[in-house]
Amino acid sequence: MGVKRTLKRLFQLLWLYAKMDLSWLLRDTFFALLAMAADVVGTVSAISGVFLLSWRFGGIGGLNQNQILFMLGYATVVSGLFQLFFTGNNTGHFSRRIGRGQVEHMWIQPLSLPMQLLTEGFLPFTASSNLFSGGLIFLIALKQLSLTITYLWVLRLLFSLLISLTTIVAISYLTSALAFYSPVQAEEISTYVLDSLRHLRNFPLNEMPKAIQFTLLSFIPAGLIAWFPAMGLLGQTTLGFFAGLPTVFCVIFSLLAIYYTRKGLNYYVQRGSNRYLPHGHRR
Amino acid sequence: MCKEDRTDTSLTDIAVDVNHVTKTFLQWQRDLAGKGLLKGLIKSEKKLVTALNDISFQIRKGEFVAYAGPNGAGKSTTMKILAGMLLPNQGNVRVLGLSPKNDRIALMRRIGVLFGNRTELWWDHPVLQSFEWKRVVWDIPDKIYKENLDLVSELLDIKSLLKTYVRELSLGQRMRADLAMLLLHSPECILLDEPTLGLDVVAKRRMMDFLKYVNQEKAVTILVTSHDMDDLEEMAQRILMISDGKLAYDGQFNGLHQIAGNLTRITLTMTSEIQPDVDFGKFLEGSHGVFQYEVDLNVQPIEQVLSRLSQIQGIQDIEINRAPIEQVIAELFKSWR
Repeated sequence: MGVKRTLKRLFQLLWLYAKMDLSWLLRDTFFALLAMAADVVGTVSAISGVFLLSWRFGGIGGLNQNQILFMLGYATVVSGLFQLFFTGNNTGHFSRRIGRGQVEHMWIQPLSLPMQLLTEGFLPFTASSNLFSGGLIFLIALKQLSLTITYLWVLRLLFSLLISLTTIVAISYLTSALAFYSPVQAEEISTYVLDSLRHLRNFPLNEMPKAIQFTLLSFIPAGLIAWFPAMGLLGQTTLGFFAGLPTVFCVIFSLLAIYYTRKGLNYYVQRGSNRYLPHGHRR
Repeated sequence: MCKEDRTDTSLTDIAVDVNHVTKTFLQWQRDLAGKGLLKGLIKSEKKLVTALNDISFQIRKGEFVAYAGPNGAGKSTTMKILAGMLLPNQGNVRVLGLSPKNDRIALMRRIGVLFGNRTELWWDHPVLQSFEWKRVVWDIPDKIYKENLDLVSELLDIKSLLKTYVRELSLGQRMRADLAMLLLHSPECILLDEPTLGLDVVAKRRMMDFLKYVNQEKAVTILVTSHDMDDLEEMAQRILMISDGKLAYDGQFNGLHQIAGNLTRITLTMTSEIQPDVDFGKFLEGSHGVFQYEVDLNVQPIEQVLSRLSQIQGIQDIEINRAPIEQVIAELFKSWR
């Protein structure tokens, strides 16, 4: 399939899932809005602890409260993007699909698996609340910081967001690959891993020991999806670390995720799955 | 294995070609206590299970074939291999001339796959939404989609269900909707794994009539599995019988009856607990006024059986069923000795 045709199919499918999401919103509007409001409350609560501490003490670890707010806004936007593109049908938590034996539904569609995974999770209406709340926090922080916004800066921001999002997705798929070999125990592994990252990423790492900084900027990349890119966008020093670190680790994690997911899929078609669960296949 | 002559088959005429396929699985074994439990920590014990053992068969285009066997015989494994969900350890599989592994996307445009214990419908949307989803994902041209939608809506009587949420459908309604969706892209070959599972008599009848129509009028090749011989004989022209991963029979139903007998079970519910005097069949079991007999309809035609039954006093109810598939297979094996 040519690039043009692939892109056309991609947008056709995104449009399809957007329409389906809208119909879900319009059908159970009250409950959908309630769920969205709960998402916002949950997100704001998760970041408010760090923000209030920074407010009380005039900043944390060398970042002032507005810079902290900027970092938290960035982190929330990344979460919002993940939720927007990878929440539906557990595409962002592939271990659930593997663990429930639901990958078989994917083999019988006349689409490549990446195309299915890139489109089935798209929920632009019911899963956009975090993106909006994160965007709002981000804009407030920008206003307070009086940053000079140039086209280049906006491009850097978009690139950073793409790298952070890809890193999260790659981590999710990399850990999900364990579910191919142990479907029962690892069914929820991606949820646990992403939750841990979400809790850790809210802390600025400026005055942490180097070993902790390095750990959180490499093997446990919580610092790569909020603190480090925020520092770069704020024009702060990267404390001796290579500025392209998020991109390097994004590529490493993505390659590992692709390799182990392919390997796991090969294992799946050899072994099959005898624990099919209908729930969670289609919402 | 008994196999009827099917030499008159050119390659272009073949819809499904299964060639010396073997599929094995490893099953973990574990003791619950004692030494075995500790041993399992160091070196886990695994058992090799052969789900399919050198299976070969071909299905011509337009055939309606039943794939029968008891639970665990390897029916679903075969279906999954044909649908590309599993890869065989040995052997080759081609469906409509395509490899399920290498040509998966092209193949899925041309075949339909349905497993009775799962649905391809979108649970929290109206049925029509699932059909629309299929139209986009399969990239079905509008004209074909509309024609097929009208046809299946009419034949499966699902017009009134199109706006109903899938989660609110009964099992029979859901299966009809699933079948309807299966046919929207005009598949040339459909693979159905236990489609009648859990359906009541009316729903079963409707589904079987529909499948026969699709096979006869649209020339769609159908391979359907079931462990219910009655259902299969009602629908299919040819039967492939599998047992313990091996093909035990490949041919017409009549041929099967000639070899294994036309075994039927008759259950009589009596008004009293006294066993009736039945001289035309073998007594199997009986208690509390319910007595079961086995009759070979090749030996005792059904007319004779009914006539004899009408002479017995005190019958409250009669139930006539085909013998379970396990027994048919046992009779097959006996006939080869």
